[in-house]
Amino acid sequence: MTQDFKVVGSRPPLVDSWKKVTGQAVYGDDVRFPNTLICRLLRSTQPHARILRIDTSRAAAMPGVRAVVTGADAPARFGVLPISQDEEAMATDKVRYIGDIVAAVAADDEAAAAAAVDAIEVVYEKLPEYFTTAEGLDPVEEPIHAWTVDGSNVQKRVDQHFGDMDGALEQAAVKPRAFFDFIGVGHAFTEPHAVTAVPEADGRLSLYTPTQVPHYVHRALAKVLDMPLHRVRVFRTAVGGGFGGKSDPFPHEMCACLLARRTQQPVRLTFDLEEIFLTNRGRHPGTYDVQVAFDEHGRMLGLDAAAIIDGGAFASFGVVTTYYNGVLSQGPYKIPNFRYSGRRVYTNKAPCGAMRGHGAVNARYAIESVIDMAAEELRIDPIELRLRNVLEPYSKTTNEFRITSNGIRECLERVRDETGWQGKKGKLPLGKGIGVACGFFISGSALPIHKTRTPQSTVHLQIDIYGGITAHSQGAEIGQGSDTVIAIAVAEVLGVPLDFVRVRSEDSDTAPLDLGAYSSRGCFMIGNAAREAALVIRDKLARAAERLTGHAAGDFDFRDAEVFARSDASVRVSYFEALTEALADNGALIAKGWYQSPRMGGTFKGAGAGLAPAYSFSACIAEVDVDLETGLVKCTAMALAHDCGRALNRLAVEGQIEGCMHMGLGQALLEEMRYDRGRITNPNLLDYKILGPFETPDMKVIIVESEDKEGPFGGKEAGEGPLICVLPALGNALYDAVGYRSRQLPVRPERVFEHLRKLRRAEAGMSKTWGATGR
Amino acid sequence: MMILPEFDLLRPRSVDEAVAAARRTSGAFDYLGGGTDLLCNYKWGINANPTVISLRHIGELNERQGGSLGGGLTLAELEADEDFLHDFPAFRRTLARLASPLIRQTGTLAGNILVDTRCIWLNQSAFARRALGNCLKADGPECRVVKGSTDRCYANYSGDMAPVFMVYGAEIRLAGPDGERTLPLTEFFSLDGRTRNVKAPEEIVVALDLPGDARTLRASYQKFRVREAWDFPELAVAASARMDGDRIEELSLVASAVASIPLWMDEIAAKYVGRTLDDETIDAVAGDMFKASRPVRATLLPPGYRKHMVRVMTTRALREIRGDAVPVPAAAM
Repeated sequence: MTQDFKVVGSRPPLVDSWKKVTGQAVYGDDVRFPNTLICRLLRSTQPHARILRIDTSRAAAMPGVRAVVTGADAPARFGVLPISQDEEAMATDKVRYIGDIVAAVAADDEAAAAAAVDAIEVVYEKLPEYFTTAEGLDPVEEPIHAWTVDGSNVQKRVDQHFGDMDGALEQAAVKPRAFFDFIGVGHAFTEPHAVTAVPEADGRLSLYTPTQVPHYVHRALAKVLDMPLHRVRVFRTAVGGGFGGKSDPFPHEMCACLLARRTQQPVRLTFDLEEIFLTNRGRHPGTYDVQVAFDEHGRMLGLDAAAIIDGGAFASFGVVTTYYNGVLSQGPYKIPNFRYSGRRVYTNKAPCGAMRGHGAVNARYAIESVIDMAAEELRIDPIELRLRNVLEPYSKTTNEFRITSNGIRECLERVRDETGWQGKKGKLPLGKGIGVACGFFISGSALPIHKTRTPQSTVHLQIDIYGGITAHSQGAEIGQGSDTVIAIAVAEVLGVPLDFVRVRSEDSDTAPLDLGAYSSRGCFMIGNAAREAALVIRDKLARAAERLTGHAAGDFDFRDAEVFARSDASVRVSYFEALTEALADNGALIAKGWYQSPRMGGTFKGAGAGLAPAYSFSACIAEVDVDLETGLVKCTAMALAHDCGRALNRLAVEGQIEGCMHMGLGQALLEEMRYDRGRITNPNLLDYKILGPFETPDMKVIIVESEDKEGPFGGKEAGEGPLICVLPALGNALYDAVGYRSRQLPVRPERVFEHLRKLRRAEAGMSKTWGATGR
Repeated sequence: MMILPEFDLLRPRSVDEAVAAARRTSGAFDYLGGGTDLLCNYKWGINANPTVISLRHIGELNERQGGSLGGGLTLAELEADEDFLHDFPAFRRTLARLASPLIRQTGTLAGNILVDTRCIWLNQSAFARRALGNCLKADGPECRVVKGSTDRCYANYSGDMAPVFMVYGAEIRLAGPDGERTLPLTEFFSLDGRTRNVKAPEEIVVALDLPGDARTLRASYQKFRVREAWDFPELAVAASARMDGDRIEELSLVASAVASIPLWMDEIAAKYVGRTLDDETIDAVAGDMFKASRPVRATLLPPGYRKHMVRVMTTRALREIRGDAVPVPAAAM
């Protein structure tokens, strides 16, 4: 195939965008069936308590109430990871956080369901409550779960050491170290969780849910409902934003199904905003203690890091998060010596999980901050220092990640050159600053969550006499554009306009298995599967063209709905002529393509964590303006260069990068989940503050294309990676502006204000040369 | 899903009808203006009443004559009224920075004057309040922010319009069972987060009246918060002055959103009449305002920091009155 693409690299609106902007898309709460009951959940008001008694009799007898279920009705445990199945549909023996589900009611309408929930009586016996990781590191009186490490609340420990970290520190010319504290943040997606469970006439059960991971929901439902997989059907509705927050199988999905099975009526459940915060699965709060060692030439000698992350009440993706906080620090630099210790600790708070940039975001803020401190100590420009240390394309990291395409150098050079860095760095007046940082992320996890040899993505194609191509996939379109990637890949290979392709990715009854929208795997894996499938069809059409023209099939190219010979442009048939011939005595064309990551990685314990068939790279420059009287920090401009291998859809890549800037700045400047004795105190979008239009900076998006050899048409991920460099670029710019190194995120204006007051008191400090890189 | 509690909705056509309807309820009612404040609280189960009396269909509340503004006017209507903004320019930025365009489209002038006090403890769902216990303002025995307070609620005043009307010398016109009465807006508020003001429950805010000579005042409203849209004020300072050259002839000051009502700082203002509006005076006024403000932890930002910001916002208000360029938030540009 030539590199002269027709559809790849264009900028079409997402193929599913029309129905979304016209209101025709069916989101979770749009699903309607006759005779649907409404479900409401009773949630724990206790952070940690034993359930002594649940009395549902009064609730069950209330008018309009059709069923009440409790934990005893489905005690099987589940969770997204097979190794940490610690969740229940509803709490059985004890509740573990304020918001834990205790019972579920199905009633004729919302008001009846709500009244019944209020009528359920629960008698609790309070247990010791643990709200911090520090309290849980050693054995505790009442561990939150029974299977923690040595009777503590530690769920997972990771310890890794490559090379000789102590030796690296001894040799180092500079070795700045700092301790960081990150507050938890949530996904703040627009669409609340909203599900409908439907008992089918043939005894099967269907669940309509806006999920990122239909396949894992499918497995969990089968387990909890004790039904064989083929008796369960998962229908992914349109998803109004996920960002990782819809990538677990959820207890509320189980509740709706249990009630539907009990009542033999459809059951609908829609969350309010507070329930989204209570369900959480957001970015882990935690601490990060990091030290970086450089020699006098600015060569990185090693990285030493310790993370303690606050998991909340359940495991979710936490084992992976514990690894990612360390292993995803292995790029984008060559790090010969590396030591990492990670701990994930259960607390009596809403469970944390995966969120855009999973496990890499807070760690990256810490690392890029200490690299900035090293640059200052070494008196080397921070971009130059980074350029001296970046990984080369097609190389290997110390922990045996296989690096393929890598555009990090171009990313750094372009943000430098396109922001006027050299004229600004160190030259701006007090209050104005500029900062840089890099990012690194997986383009799809190479290992599936469940050990299996089933391909990670499969795409089916079907063409009948109408000419349109129907693509079936379970790739979870969540607004990121995976349906469009399929359409682009197929249209490109078959040389037809994009509107020839329609993607059906909702229904587990028709979709070939795909693992879902997590770990930034969609573009790479689904894209490759779609391309493979299209190549099979293309071969069938080329052979049909050969039959029609007598010209060798291998010489045909496909473009503008025509099939023509490369060596002789006069030999051509239309796409429809070729198709009609191919269908003759054969019927509809069908084809299958699949993707499976190649074998890779080391053999040490934990070697699989962070392995990816390709990695994305990025660099960001932030400019800030600090109000010297109030301490308010405003990001005025941001440029972000991201190596996505090849932009299959430039519009979508730009949208993802802009979204990453917005979301990253939100965590850096405003967003935080606040708790008071286990209760979230800001579970709404007035008090949980995402960036508004006036806080959003001028954004410059730079797409770097390193053309990955294994990526579909060279493509890699662009949905998560760009977020990672945003936060440290902001932090480094803030330091450049006023000499304040924020060791906590979000940056709090009152802390900047305190810093500025101290500066003002020490009159001498009003120059731009405060050099100390405090520890 | 979050659903409204059930209530009877009454839609009277006149102020008299509304007041009469209110009297028939034996007190368990709320007047409804735009609903952007009230209905949110209802959804959260905060002090919901079984009867809601809508004021949206009462023509006399929507009248506007010169400096007399009907309480039922929407904030968007005021924002679009160039004559009004020309005469009282401090409202231009106040309105542009108030909540969001969508809320201004619905929210009313009287609704913003009467906006319920807010508190990080109170403004939560019924579930959340049940988890850690209720507070004085909603079904609880004591204030959770100022522990031990059983007679006074410390929820924060969060309106933007009242402080500006106060420094322009406005009067508020109320209609109730005993007819109409008018009082200076500075005497309208009363320090408790529950009762908030001297309005009898059945009384309706008919209008705000700005005196004719207010047009010659120079005024400024400086609002502090972390986002330039949506957010309620973390604190705000309103000031006005009548200047004779650079000498202060009249001065009015309000520190808002640092207590349960906008604080009328007449004693501080009186000290500086006759003084030159120079940096030294501005520093002194700002220092007095700082000392007189005692915010509590009822909002997002720590009280100590908000207190410091009173000084900064006072300085900016007076500088703007003097004619200096002060930082203007993006939302008001």
